Amino acid sequence: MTKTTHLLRIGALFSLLALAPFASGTAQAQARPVASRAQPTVELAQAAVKAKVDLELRVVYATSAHKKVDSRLSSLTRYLSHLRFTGYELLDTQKSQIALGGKSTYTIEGGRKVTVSLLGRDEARARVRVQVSGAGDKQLLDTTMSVNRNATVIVAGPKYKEGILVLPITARY
Amino acid sequence: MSRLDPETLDDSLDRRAVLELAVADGLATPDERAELLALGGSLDAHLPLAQAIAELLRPSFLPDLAPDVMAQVAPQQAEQDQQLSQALAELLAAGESPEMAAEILAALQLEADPLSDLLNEALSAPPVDLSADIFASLGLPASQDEDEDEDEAQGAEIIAFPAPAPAAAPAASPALQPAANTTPLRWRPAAVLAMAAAAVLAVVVGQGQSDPLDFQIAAVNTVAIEELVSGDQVFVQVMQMDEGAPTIIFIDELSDDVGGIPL
Repeated sequence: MTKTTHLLRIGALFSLLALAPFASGTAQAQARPVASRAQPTVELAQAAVKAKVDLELRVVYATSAHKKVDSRLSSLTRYLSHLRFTGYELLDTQKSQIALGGKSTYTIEGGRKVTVSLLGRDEARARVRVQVSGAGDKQLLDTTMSVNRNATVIVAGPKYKEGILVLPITARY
Repeated sequence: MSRLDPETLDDSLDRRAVLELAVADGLATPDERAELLALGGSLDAHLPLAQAIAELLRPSFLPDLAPDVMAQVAPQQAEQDQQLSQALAELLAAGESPEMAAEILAALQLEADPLSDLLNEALSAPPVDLSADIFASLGLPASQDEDEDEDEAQGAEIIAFPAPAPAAAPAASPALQPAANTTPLRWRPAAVLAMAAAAVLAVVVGQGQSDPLDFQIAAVNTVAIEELVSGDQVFVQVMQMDEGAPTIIFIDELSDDVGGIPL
C-alpha cells in the first residue's frame, strides 16, 4: 500500500464521519411522514396539559400561643418573621389544576373561600385573580396580579382562633 | 524366663537356699517343694523377706486404686479409706450437707478467702463506668452530667449507658486508662470517604423521599399587582420584605371593638 493510497483512505473516512449527521437527518426526514399521523394528537394533548397551571394553596395557622413550627414550613417561616407570630401550623394543603380562563375555589377554615382564576400565562409569567371572601360571602379581597413562573404569593390576615390564617398560593407550570 | 537349674547355680548358695528361691519365685516343682521340706526348709521362708521388701518399696503416697487392688497392695490404707467412706456415708445419710471447706482448709493450715466470699464481693462491687474513657478516647465531651443521668435512670426503663459509679468506687481500672505512649484515635481516609459517601447518599435519598407536603418556595417570587379591591371594614397592606421574597398581602378585618391585628 502506497502512502498516497493510505492518506486517501483516511480522508474518505473523515468525509464519511462529516457527512453522517446529514445522512441521519435525511433518514429522519424520510421517516417523518410515517410518524406524522399520530404526532399532532400527541402534541395537542401535551400543549393542553402545559396550558394548565398547577395551583397549590396551603392553609397555615399562625399564632403566638406557642412556639412550635411545623417542619414542613421551614422554608416559609423566614418570610413570616415580620408578622411577629411565634407558632405556625400547617392545617391543610389543597391542589388543583386550572386551564386558561378557568378558576378554582377552595374552602378553608372559618367558612372562608379563596378563588383563584387563571387569566393568562406565558413562558415567564402567569396572570391570576385572587378573591378571598369571609363568612356570608363577604368580600375581603379581590386582586389581580401577575406573578412569575412558579412564584408564591402569600395572602395573610383572616382571623382564626387566637391568631390568623396565612395562605401561600403557588402557581406552577 | 528360663527355669533355674540348681546344678548350674553359684556355689555360694546351697541346695536348700536354691530351692527356697525357686519356691519364692513360684517356679518350684512339686518334687522340688518336697525336697525342700525333706531338707528341713520351709515353703513360707521367703514371706517375711518379701513383706520387708514390699514395705521398703511402698511409696509414701498411694494413688487412688480400686478397693480390691488397695486391699492387696495396701491393706491398712484400704481399711482407712473404707472407714472414711463409711463416715461420709453416715454424714450424707443424716440429711445435712457437711460444711467441710473451712475444716479442710484448717486441716491443711491454709488461710484463704472462701470462694463464696470472693464471688459476693465481686457481685456487690459497683459497675465500672467506661463511657467517660470512651468519650475521652474519641475526643468527644461527655454525653450528660451525672445528675441528668440519674434523673433519666429513675424514669427510663432502658438505660443507654451504665449508671455512673459512686465516688468511693474507682471510675475505671488503671489498665483502661490511656497510656502516655498510646497512639490517639485517628480517622482513616477510607473511613472518612465512606462516611462522606453515606452522607451524600442519605441526602440524595432524603430528597427523593421528602414529604410531598413540604413547602418549597422558588428563589424568585416577583409579583406585580394590577388591581386590588378590599371589602368594607377591611384594611389591606402589601408587604415585600426582601428582594425575591414572596409578596405578602395582609388582610386586616377591622371590627368595632378591635382595631386590627398588630403586625
